[in-house]
Amino acid sequence: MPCEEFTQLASGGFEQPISFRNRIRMLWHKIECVYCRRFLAQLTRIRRLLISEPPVKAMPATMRDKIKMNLKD
Amino acid sequence: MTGSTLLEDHGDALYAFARSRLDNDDDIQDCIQETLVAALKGASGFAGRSSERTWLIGILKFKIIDLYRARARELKNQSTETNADDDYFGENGHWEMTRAPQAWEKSPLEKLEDDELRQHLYRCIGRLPSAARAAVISRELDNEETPEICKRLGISATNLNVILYRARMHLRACLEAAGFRGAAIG
Repeated sequence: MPCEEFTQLASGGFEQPISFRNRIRMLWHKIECVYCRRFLAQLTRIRRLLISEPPVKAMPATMRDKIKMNLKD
Repeated sequence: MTGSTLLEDHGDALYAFARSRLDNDDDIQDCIQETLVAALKGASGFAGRSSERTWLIGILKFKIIDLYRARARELKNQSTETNADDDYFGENGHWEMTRAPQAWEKSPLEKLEDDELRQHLYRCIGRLPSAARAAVISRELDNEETPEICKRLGISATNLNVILYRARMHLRACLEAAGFRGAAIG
Protein backbone atom coordinates (compact mmCIF):
# COMPACT_ATOMS: atom_id res chain seq x y z
CA MET A 1 0.00 0.00 0.00
CA PRO A 2 1.38 3.43 -0.92
CA CYS A 3 1.71 5.93 1.95
CA GLU A 4 -0.56 8.38 0.14
CA GLU A 5 -3.39 5.85 0.12
CA PHE A 6 -2.76 5.07 3.79
CA THR A 7 -3.05 8.75 4.75
CA GLN A 8 -6.24 9.18 2.69
CA LEU A 9 -7.84 6.12 4.27
CA ALA A 10 -6.72 7.21 7.75
CA SER A 11 -8.23 10.67 7.31
CA GLY A 12 -11.40 9.24 5.75
CA GLY A 13 -11.65 6.84 8.66
CA PHE A 14 -12.53 9.77 10.89
CA GLU A 15 -15.63 10.39 8.73
CA GLN A 16 -16.80 6.86 7.93
CA PRO A 17 -15.88 3.28 8.81
CA ILE A 18 -12.98 1.71 6.93
CA SER A 19 -13.71 -1.60 5.23
CA PHE A 20 -12.30 -4.76 6.81
CA ARG A 21 -10.05 -5.34 3.81
CA ASN A 22 -8.58 -1.85 4.03
CA ARG A 23 -8.14 -2.10 7.80
CA ILE A 24 -6.00 -5.21 7.26
CA ARG A 25 -4.03 -3.51 4.47
CA MET A 26 -3.45 -0.50 6.70
CA LEU A 27 -2.34 -2.70 9.57
CA TRP A 28 0.29 -4.36 7.40
CA HIS A 29 1.43 -1.02 6.06
CA LYS A 30 1.66 0.45 9.56
CA ILE A 31 3.94 -2.37 10.63
CA GLU A 32 6.43 -1.62 7.90
CA CYS A 33 6.20 2.20 7.64
CA VAL A 34 7.43 4.36 10.50
CA TYR A 35 6.32 7.56 8.76
CA CYS A 36 2.70 6.44 8.48
CA ARG A 37 2.77 5.29 12.11
CA ARG A 38 3.92 8.78 13.07
CA PHE A 39 1.34 10.35 10.77
CA LEU A 40 -1.51 8.49 12.42
CA ALA A 41 -0.26 9.18 15.96
CA GLN A 42 0.21 12.88 15.20
CA LEU A 43 -3.18 13.23 13.51
CA THR A 44 -4.80 11.56 16.50
CA ARG A 45 -3.04 13.96 18.88
CA ILE A 46 -4.15 16.96 16.81
CA ARG A 47 -7.77 15.77 16.86
CA ARG A 48 -7.64 15.13 20.60
CA LEU A 49 -6.32 18.65 21.17
CA LEU A 50 -9.06 20.19 19.05
CA ILE A 51 -11.81 18.23 20.76
CA SER A 52 -10.64 19.09 24.28
CA GLU A 53 -11.96 22.32 25.72
CA PRO A 54 -9.43 25.17 25.80
CA PRO A 55 -9.11 27.11 29.05
CA VAL A 56 -11.16 30.29 29.07
CA LYS A 57 -9.02 33.31 28.27
CA ALA A 58 -10.08 36.81 29.18
CA MET A 59 -11.40 39.06 26.47
CA PRO A 60 -8.90 41.85 25.76
CA ALA A 61 -9.93 45.04 27.55
CA THR A 62 -9.82 47.08 24.32
CA MET A 63 -12.25 44.71 22.62
CA ARG A 64 -14.56 44.77 25.63
CA ASP A 65 -14.54 48.57 25.63
CA LYS A 66 -15.22 48.76 21.89
CA ILE A 67 -18.16 46.36 22.11
CA LYS A 68 -19.53 48.21 25.12
CA MET A 69 -19.30 51.50 23.27
CA ASN A 70 -20.90 50.10 20.10
CA LEU A 71 -23.75 48.58 22.08
CA LYS A 72 -24.58 52.00 23.48
CA ASP A 73 -24.88 53.48 19.95
CA MET B 1 -30.86 42.28 30.87
CA THR B 2 -28.50 44.82 29.28
CA GLY B 3 -25.67 44.48 26.81
CA SER B 4 -23.18 45.58 29.43
CA THR B 5 -24.23 42.98 31.98
CA LEU B 6 -24.22 40.22 29.36
CA LEU B 7 -20.77 41.33 28.31
CA GLU B 8 -19.51 41.40 31.89
CA ASP B 9 -21.01 38.02 32.79
CA HIS B 10 -20.26 36.09 29.59
CA GLY B 11 -17.72 38.13 27.60
CA ASP B 12 -14.78 35.87 28.41
CA ALA B 13 -16.67 32.68 27.56
CA LEU B 14 -17.93 34.15 24.28
CA TYR B 15 -14.43 35.34 23.48
CA ALA B 16 -12.90 31.91 24.19
CA PHE B 17 -15.48 30.21 21.98
CA ALA B 18 -15.01 32.66 19.10
CA ARG B 19 -11.25 32.73 19.42
CA SER B 20 -10.93 29.02 18.74
CA ARG B 21 -13.04 29.36 15.61
CA LEU B 22 -12.05 32.66 14.05
CA ASP B 23 -8.61 33.85 13.15
CA ASN B 24 -8.76 37.59 13.70
CA ASP B 25 -9.94 40.00 16.35
CA ASP B 26 -12.15 42.01 13.99
CA ASP B 27 -14.28 38.98 13.15
CA ILE B 28 -14.35 37.91 16.80
CA GLN B 29 -15.50 41.34 17.92
CA ASP B 30 -18.15 41.58 15.17
CA CYS B 31 -19.58 38.16 15.96
CA ILE B 32 -19.73 38.78 19.71
CA GLN B 33 -21.29 42.18 19.19
CA GLU B 34 -23.91 40.79 16.80
CA THR B 35 -24.60 38.01 19.29
CA LEU B 36 -25.28 40.47 22.08
CA VAL B 37 -27.50 42.62 19.85
CA ALA B 38 -29.45 39.54 18.76
CA ALA B 39 -29.74 38.39 22.38
CA LEU B 40 -31.11 41.75 23.50
CA LYS B 41 -33.61 41.79 20.64
CA GLY B 42 -34.71 38.24 21.35
CA ALA B 43 -34.49 38.34 25.13
CA SER B 44 -38.21 37.66 25.42
CA GLY B 45 -37.67 34.43 23.49
CA PHE B 46 -35.20 33.14 26.05
CA ALA B 47 -37.26 30.48 27.73
CA GLY B 48 -34.74 29.66 30.41
CA ARG B 49 -34.57 26.03 29.34
CA SER B 50 -30.80 26.37 29.13
CA SER B 51 -28.40 28.62 30.97
CA GLU B 52 -27.97 32.17 29.72
CA ARG B 53 -24.42 31.33 28.65
CA THR B 54 -25.48 28.27 26.65
CA TRP B 55 -28.14 30.39 24.96
CA LEU B 56 -25.58 33.07 24.04
CA ILE B 57 -23.04 30.51 22.79
CA GLY B 58 -25.82 29.05 20.62
CA ILE B 59 -26.45 32.46 19.05
CA LEU B 60 -22.72 33.06 18.61
CA LYS B 61 -22.34 29.71 16.88
CA PHE B 62 -24.92 30.78 14.28
CA LYS B 63 -23.22 34.15 13.82
CA ILE B 64 -19.95 32.35 13.13
CA ILE B 65 -21.71 29.94 10.77
CA ASP B 66 -23.15 32.96 8.89
CA LEU B 67 -19.62 34.24 8.49
CA TYR B 68 -18.39 30.87 7.21
CA ARG B 69 -21.32 30.68 4.82
CA ALA B 70 -20.45 34.06 3.38
CA ARG B 71 -16.91 32.91 2.90
CA ALA B 72 -17.81 29.46 1.66
CA ARG B 73 -18.34 31.04 -1.76
CA GLU B 74 -14.60 30.59 -2.07
CA LEU B 75 -15.24 26.85 -2.17
CA LYS B 76 -16.58 27.08 -5.67
CA ASN B 77 -13.30 28.54 -6.80
CA GLN B 78 -11.12 26.20 -4.82
CA SER B 79 -9.75 23.23 -6.67
CA THR B 80 -9.56 19.97 -4.80
CA GLU B 81 -6.60 19.01 -6.94
CA THR B 82 -3.29 18.78 -5.20
CA ASN B 83 -1.04 21.69 -6.00
CA ALA B 84 2.74 21.85 -5.97
CA ASP B 85 2.80 22.96 -2.35
CA ASP B 86 1.06 19.75 -1.32
CA ASP B 87 3.58 17.35 -2.82
CA TYR B 88 4.04 15.23 0.25
CA PHE B 89 4.41 12.07 -1.82
CA GLY B 90 6.67 10.92 -4.63
CA GLU B 91 5.53 9.32 -7.87
CA ASN B 92 5.47 5.91 -6.17
CA GLY B 93 2.94 7.20 -3.64
CA HIS B 94 5.34 7.03 -0.70
CA TRP B 95 6.45 9.94 1.47
CA GLU B 96 8.98 12.37 0.04
CA MET B 97 11.80 12.12 2.57
CA THR B 98 11.94 15.89 3.07
CA ARG B 99 8.21 16.04 3.90
CA ALA B 100 7.76 12.75 5.75
CA PRO B 101 6.49 12.98 9.35
CA GLN B 102 9.33 13.52 11.80
CA ALA B 103 9.47 12.10 15.30
CA TRP B 104 7.91 14.77 17.49
CA GLU B 105 9.63 13.21 20.48
CA LYS B 106 12.85 14.76 19.22
CA SER B 107 11.37 18.21 18.74
CA PRO B 108 10.27 20.96 21.13
CA LEU B 109 6.69 19.94 20.26
CA GLU B 110 6.86 17.09 22.74
CA LYS B 111 7.76 19.45 25.56
CA LEU B 112 4.90 21.84 24.89
CA GLU B 113 1.90 21.75 27.18
CA ASP B 114 -1.39 20.98 25.49
CA ASP B 115 -2.58 24.56 25.79
CA GLU B 116 0.53 25.93 24.10
CA LEU B 117 0.31 23.34 21.35
CA ARG B 118 -3.36 24.20 20.92
CA GLN B 119 -2.46 27.86 20.38
CA HIS B 120 -0.01 26.82 17.63
CA LEU B 121 -2.75 24.69 16.15
CA TYR B 122 -5.25 27.57 16.12
CA ARG B 123 -2.71 29.68 14.29
CA CYS B 124 -2.21 26.90 11.76
CA ILE B 125 -5.99 26.64 11.33
CA GLY B 126 -6.03 30.38 10.76
CA ARG B 127 -3.70 29.87 7.82
CA LEU B 128 -6.05 27.47 6.06
CA PRO B 129 -8.24 28.75 3.22
CA SER B 130 -11.49 29.90 4.81
CA ALA B 131 -13.54 27.04 3.36
CA ALA B 132 -11.11 24.44 4.69
CA ARG B 133 -11.06 26.27 8.00
CA ALA B 134 -14.85 26.17 8.16
CA ALA B 135 -14.82 22.43 7.40
CA VAL B 136 -12.16 21.65 10.04
CA ILE B 137 -13.82 23.73 12.72
CA SER B 138 -17.28 22.29 12.04
CA ARG B 139 -15.94 18.74 12.03
CA GLU B 140 -13.27 18.78 14.70
CA LEU B 141 -14.24 21.53 17.13
CA ASP B 142 -18.02 21.42 16.84
CA ASN B 143 -18.15 17.68 16.12
CA GLU B 144 -20.79 18.14 13.42
CA GLU B 145 -21.77 15.28 11.15
CA THR B 146 -20.86 15.13 7.47
CA PRO B 147 -24.39 15.74 6.05
CA GLU B 148 -24.82 18.83 8.22
CA ILE B 149 -21.50 20.33 7.12
CA CYS B 150 -22.10 19.46 3.46
CA LYS B 151 -25.52 21.08 3.53
CA ARG B 152 -24.20 24.27 5.08
CA LEU B 153 -21.19 24.57 2.81
CA GLY B 154 -23.04 23.36 -0.27
CA ILE B 155 -20.55 20.61 -1.11
CA SER B 156 -20.66 16.85 -1.59
CA ALA B 157 -19.42 14.38 1.02
CA THR B 158 -16.59 13.39 -1.32
CA ASN B 159 -15.54 17.00 -1.67
CA LEU B 160 -15.66 17.46 2.11
CA ASN B 161 -13.46 14.39 2.61
CA VAL B 162 -10.88 15.79 0.20
CA ILE B 163 -10.96 19.21 1.88
CA LEU B 164 -10.58 17.66 5.35
CA TYR B 165 -7.78 15.39 4.15
CA ARG B 166 -5.80 18.28 2.67
CA ALA B 167 -6.48 20.44 5.73
CA ARG B 168 -5.22 17.70 8.09
CA MET B 169 -2.09 17.25 6.00
CA HIS B 170 -1.49 21.00 6.20
CA LEU B 171 -2.17 21.19 9.94
CA ARG B 172 0.22 18.36 10.75
CA ALA B 173 2.96 19.83 8.57
CA CYS B 174 2.34 23.37 9.90
CA LEU B 175 2.55 22.21 13.51
CA GLU B 176 5.66 20.18 12.81
CA ALA B 177 7.35 23.12 11.08
CA ALA B 178 6.54 25.34 14.05
CA GLY B 179 7.81 22.74 16.48
CA PHE B 180 11.09 22.20 14.74
CA ARG B 181 11.73 25.91 14.52
CA GLY B 182 11.22 25.84 18.27
CA ALA B 183 9.58 29.24 18.18
CA ALA B 184 6.12 30.67 18.03
CA ILE B 185 4.63 30.88 14.60
CA GLY B 186 3.04 34.12 13.72
